[in-house]
Amino acid sequence: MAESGQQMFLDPAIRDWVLIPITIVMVLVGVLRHQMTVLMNGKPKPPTLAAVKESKALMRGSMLVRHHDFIPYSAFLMRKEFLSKAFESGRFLKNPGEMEANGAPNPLSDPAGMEMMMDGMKKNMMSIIPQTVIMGWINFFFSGFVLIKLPFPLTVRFKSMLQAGVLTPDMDVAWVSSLSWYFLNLFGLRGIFSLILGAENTADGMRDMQAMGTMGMSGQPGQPQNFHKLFLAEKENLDIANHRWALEGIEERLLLKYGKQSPPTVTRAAVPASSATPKKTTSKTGRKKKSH
Amino acid sequence: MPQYTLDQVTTRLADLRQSGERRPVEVCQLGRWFFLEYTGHSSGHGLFGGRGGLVSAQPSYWLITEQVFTAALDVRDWEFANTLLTTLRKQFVRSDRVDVLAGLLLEAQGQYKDADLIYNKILADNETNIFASKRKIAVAKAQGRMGDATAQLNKYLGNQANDHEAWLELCELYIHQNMLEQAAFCVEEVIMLQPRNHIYNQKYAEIQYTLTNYDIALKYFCRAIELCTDYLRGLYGIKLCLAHLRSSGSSNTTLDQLDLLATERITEIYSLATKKADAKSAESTKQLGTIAHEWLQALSG
Repeated sequence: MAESGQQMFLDPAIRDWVLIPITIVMVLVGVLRHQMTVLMNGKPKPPTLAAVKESKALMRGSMLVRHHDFIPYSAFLMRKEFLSKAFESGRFLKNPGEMEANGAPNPLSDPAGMEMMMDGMKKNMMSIIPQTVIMGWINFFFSGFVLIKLPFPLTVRFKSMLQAGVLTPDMDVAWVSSLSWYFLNLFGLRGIFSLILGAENTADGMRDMQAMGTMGMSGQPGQPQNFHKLFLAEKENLDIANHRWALEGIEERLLLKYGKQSPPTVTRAAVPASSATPKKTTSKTGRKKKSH
Repeated sequence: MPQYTLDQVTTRLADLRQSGERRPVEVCQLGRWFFLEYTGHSSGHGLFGGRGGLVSAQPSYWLITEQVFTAALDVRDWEFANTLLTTLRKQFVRSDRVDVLAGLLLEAQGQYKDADLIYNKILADNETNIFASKRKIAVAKAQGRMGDATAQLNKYLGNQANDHEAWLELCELYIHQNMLEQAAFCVEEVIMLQPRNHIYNQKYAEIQYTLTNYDIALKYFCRAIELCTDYLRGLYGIKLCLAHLRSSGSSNTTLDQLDLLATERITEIYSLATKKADAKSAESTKQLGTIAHEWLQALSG
């Protein structure tokens, strides 16, 4: 690079009327956007009681599958009977019509789903519109402007990042064009926003980029699930649950813990637990036949 | 008033919020100090002023206000509570959470009917509001309508099946009404939600003991001790269960060994406590040990 060969001086008016205004405008738009989002979001609509019941019932089922070993067999059996029957008959379902529906339910039929889609759209608009407007403004008035010289040398690879919109192959990379200054601000103002608005602000442009990146991966987030299917799956899990009482042989375990007994007796204690399983499997298949 | 720094006060208050420990007098004192330091008024109104500056710079400001408010109710300082409620109301004009706090104030003053009205209004807007539903149950309980409280709590748990505190509360209600089978059911739910909590296992054992299911009770007493070494209450439970089991004739080597173990641990725990006790509590600890010893003798004799 020919550092000495390039003598370029910027008009101070560029600093006063372009560089600083762009930065200020971007900060102000960020703040405005944060306030708008807060205003538009308002209060998140609470889920209906039936929806809560639905998901909590499912959780109860999975809890029974996971931790049934800690309660006596009779208590487990009672719960299993109750929950299997309730899951199958769709007793906990938010809208019992789901039982007949095949596949994922139509999100448009559920007003909550509709709202969610609208919300996503609103948020997207909030991020796209202001950025487009600012970028248009800069492109229209200041295209081709060189605004600032960075106080350190850079390699040629940064040229496309720092001199977007200025097509001069020979200019030193340390010079920053107006469009590039906009991008630097867009991605670099996060620290300032978190100072002004607190950590949980929505003014930041980066967040949207990240959100867009993850959107494709997580599958459709707004897609409501077919709870009847989930309930049936949970019922299946309950049916194959093998109750092995965690407290079987606890007396021996306790004596062992305090060193009052030698280990071999523990294996003896495990026998009654396994002998109880065949009886259970027969009762399970019996019930299955009935349900089909 | 002792000298604190702002950091100490906020940390201490945050700790108390986290642990749920109930120290109303301390919280009230710290709260008054905090508001004085922060806003220049002891009741925290005015958003600017004091050394702390902007309220938003202290993220837990409103949490602290809420915490001090409930503490003020505990010490029955209505005036302080009222001013705090006013500031909260000013900040959050239409907030269910503040509405519940207003209801709490009425409840504390014994105006259950008005409080109930407030909760009903919240629930009409948002039927899933957990605080309001729980407070309604608490009002019913405070008014002595046990059956009503039980029914409401049952309905609540039908919807929120994984709320272990609610299950425990229902268990208490059932125990009050001598419905031990139902109480046992509730504790089973709690154990499934938190299987490694020795206190819940102990509770289950005690209920089963009262239901005279001594073998199940014994197992859960053992479980409690397995989860929490030398859990004294569980050791006593084992002794009691074994006394019953033995009088009904069932006995084997394991149970005998268990009996010996329990006796040994109980004696050991008391002798350890006597050794560790300072001069002030030495006498009473020793007495406790003697009582335990006599009890053990009487049981085996």
